[in-house]
Amino acid sequence: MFSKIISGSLLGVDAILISVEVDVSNGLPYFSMVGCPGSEVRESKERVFAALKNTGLSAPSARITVNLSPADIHKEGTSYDLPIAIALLLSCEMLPKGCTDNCLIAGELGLNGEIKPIRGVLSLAKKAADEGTGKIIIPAENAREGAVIPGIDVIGVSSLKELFNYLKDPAEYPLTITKVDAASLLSESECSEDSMPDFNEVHGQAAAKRASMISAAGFHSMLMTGPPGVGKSLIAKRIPTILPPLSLEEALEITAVYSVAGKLSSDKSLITSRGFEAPHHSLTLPALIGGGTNPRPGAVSMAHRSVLFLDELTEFDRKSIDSLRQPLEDHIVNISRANYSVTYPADFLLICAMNPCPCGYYPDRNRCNCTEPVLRKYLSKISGPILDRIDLCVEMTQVKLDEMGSTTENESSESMRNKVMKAREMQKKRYAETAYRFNSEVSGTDIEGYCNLGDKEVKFLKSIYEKFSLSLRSYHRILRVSRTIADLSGSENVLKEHILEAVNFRPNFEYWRNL
Amino acid sequence: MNTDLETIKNEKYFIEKLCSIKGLNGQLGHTLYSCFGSFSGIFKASEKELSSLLPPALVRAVKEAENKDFISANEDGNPLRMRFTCIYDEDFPKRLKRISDCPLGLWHIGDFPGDNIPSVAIIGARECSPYGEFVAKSLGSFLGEAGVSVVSGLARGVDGISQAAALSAGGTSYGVLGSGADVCYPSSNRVTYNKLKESGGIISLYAPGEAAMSQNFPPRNRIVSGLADAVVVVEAKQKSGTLITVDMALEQGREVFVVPGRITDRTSDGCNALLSQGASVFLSPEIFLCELNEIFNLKKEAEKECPKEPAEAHPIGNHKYSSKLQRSEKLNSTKKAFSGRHEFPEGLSDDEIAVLSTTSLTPKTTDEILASLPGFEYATVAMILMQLLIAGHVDQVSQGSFVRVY
Repeated sequence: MFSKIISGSLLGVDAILISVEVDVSNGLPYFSMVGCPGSEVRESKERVFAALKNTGLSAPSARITVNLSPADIHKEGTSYDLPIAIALLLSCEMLPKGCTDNCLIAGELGLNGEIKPIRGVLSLAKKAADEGTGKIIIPAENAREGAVIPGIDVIGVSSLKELFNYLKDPAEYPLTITKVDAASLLSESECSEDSMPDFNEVHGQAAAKRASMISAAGFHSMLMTGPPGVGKSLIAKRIPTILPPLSLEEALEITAVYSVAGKLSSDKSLITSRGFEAPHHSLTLPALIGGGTNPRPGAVSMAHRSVLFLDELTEFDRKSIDSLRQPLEDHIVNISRANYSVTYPADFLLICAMNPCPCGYYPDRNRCNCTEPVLRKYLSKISGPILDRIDLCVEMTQVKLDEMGSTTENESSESMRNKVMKAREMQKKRYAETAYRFNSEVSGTDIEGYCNLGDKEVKFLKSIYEKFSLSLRSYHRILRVSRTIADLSGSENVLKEHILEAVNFRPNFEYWRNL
Repeated sequence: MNTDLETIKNEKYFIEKLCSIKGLNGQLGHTLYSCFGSFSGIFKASEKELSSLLPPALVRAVKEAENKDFISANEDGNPLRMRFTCIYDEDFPKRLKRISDCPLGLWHIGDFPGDNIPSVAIIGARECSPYGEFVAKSLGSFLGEAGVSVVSGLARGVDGISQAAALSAGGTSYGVLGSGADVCYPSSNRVTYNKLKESGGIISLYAPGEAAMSQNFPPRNRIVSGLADAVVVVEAKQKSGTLITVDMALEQGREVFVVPGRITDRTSDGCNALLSQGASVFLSPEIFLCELNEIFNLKKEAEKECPKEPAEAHPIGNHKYSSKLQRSEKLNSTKKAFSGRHEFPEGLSDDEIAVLSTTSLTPKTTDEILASLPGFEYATVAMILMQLLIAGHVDQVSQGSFVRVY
């Protein structure tokens, strides 16, 4: 007899529905699985048969054919175990017909019949809800994760026995529907951010703090240079605290990435705060960008809507750094394989840190003994195209001890975040009719139009352009940063003072290239 | 007469050939000459005769050179304008003839420093601080303007900076290389190298094509100090190659002037140590020029008294005209020490002057400047610094460190 169950497959952070079809017919005992299954999917036969046996249900000795449809899409992962098992039971008429209608089933089976967590439940639930499926049956550990999607009943199960009983007689063996209110989760988390680092713990470093605020306000990428131990990582770790709080939509996007990467812990149903992704510099290209034989999101996607911090930028593999170009431009990562391609979101704020020279103390010649060729070689590890995409550069130095002990109150993250949000508000209003979201995204041709420059400013910009022999790209970069600085001060017009501050933060190419 | 000229020309060919063997362009070459009576004779000598005078490696080199065709730099059609001048030529620098271990000859593109023009060697650290850079630049351009020949080694740092400054002030400068005169080392100084060919000269102890090897530099330094009347040490660390040059200069009887540095600057430790050993203090380009002229004139007089000093037998450490200078008188003269550089430029606002006054030749970041200006906002300081940078009163030395432009 034939039966069919809806399940799903991941494609990037999205899911597609897959029909698991099982046909049991008379003949010599035989099991075949078709429909482009990957190796893990093929192995599910063994898990399904053992789990059935150990649950006290016997698999029929008959000719069994399993098809995963659409049959031309490559299937991976272990989430087909549970739908295959249930479809098999349906085909043998051990379960009543129609008990799985309008229901998506996914889960991995253990040999003893327990149901183990799978990746990407959030995406599956979202797809199921979009398609009008009323119910989704998933491993209990993933239940809270799927439950953040509104408009669908999420049922978590922990063993095959439990599910078998429920499907057979829901009245006798009821299962609870997991309910999670995503919006309230989000607002609750905002109140309980006490343990987060705060900018008021940072003494001195006015330039880096200011740059962080501009960076957060206009989504400008930033590079900090300075000797070891001046607090570059300290600053970077605090940048997520001044980014605006997550909207529900953003939280779901981030959670989907975590879910697909299998990094969402079972007690958490939603990522409620912006993360801080700081990969070690030894990471490989697929680990940064995403990829692998079974593509998984990389560090850039894990940093989606938050901060990607590359410490010791010069120590990173040059190829890895250069590969950041596409995600920085398009805010997505495309990973292509021979017969399919997946897309992961990668809209991150790039924050980098490095030493000014191999020993770390240039230009303090009392401590730095690096020769010019060594310096040049060190700096050339940062390729031009990446430097071109960094809007803010700031040099940090050691804070004096008396500054450390100063009793004056440092600006807190909360106050900085409020300023950032005001600036974001101005940008939102300005770009309401356009595809832009932040000043950093505005194209070179458009930015001048948004700056409302007066005659004085135009003349001044021209003198800067000549004085520093800027490229057109650097010129537009200065304008973008000026626009954000003006937004931070609540000014509709970009004034000379804003431009001057932006010039201070420009990458000093004389230093970078012609040392 | 004809045969004599022929002989001389022939001899010069052999001198050049001998000089092209590394290690023989100096005292050893002179010894060989005095043993064999002529330079052509050296190449006719048997291995046995040579081995009594030379180490085996050099004997082998001489024997190899004997059978090899050697093309002289003086032959017509040399595209590089390179010449070889030997110690017997009229235009060989007289200053060099007076030093011990005088080279037999030099390859050069361009000229030698004029014997009748004062000549100064400016030497110092490759990795110099903005202070060293500033002194090298101002001294170089001051001397260039004053028509003094500036001799140096065209190295990175102080050497190259002072030479480039002298050239752009319209002066003449001479670069003594540790490589062949046709090899530009370091390549970062190529612009200066090319300019030197036009207004000054490139001079080398080594045959064309010779790469810059570390053992070439000490003999090169000997020529740098030898071609100068006085040596100025701009910046040197405690252990510095510059100090080797100073030793050679003192051996050659050159007056050594040292630019004092702050005791907290490691880049000036070597300089301050020299000063404590009794070197003359370099106070300002103006005062230095007066002292230089005095040295030069004293030297001219000394030459008049004893016009034919033999090349080899020059007494080491002729301090006839050093340390006897009437320094106190000089200081009271109208020349000021680094004059006119302490006033602030006109037309600056009070805030701008406040920010400018916190800058110096020690690089400081915006944060450090802010820390020494209580009551100022970060954004204000950043803005003023940029204004000063655009106006050219400060300079940016790294990503965010500023030094004052004097």
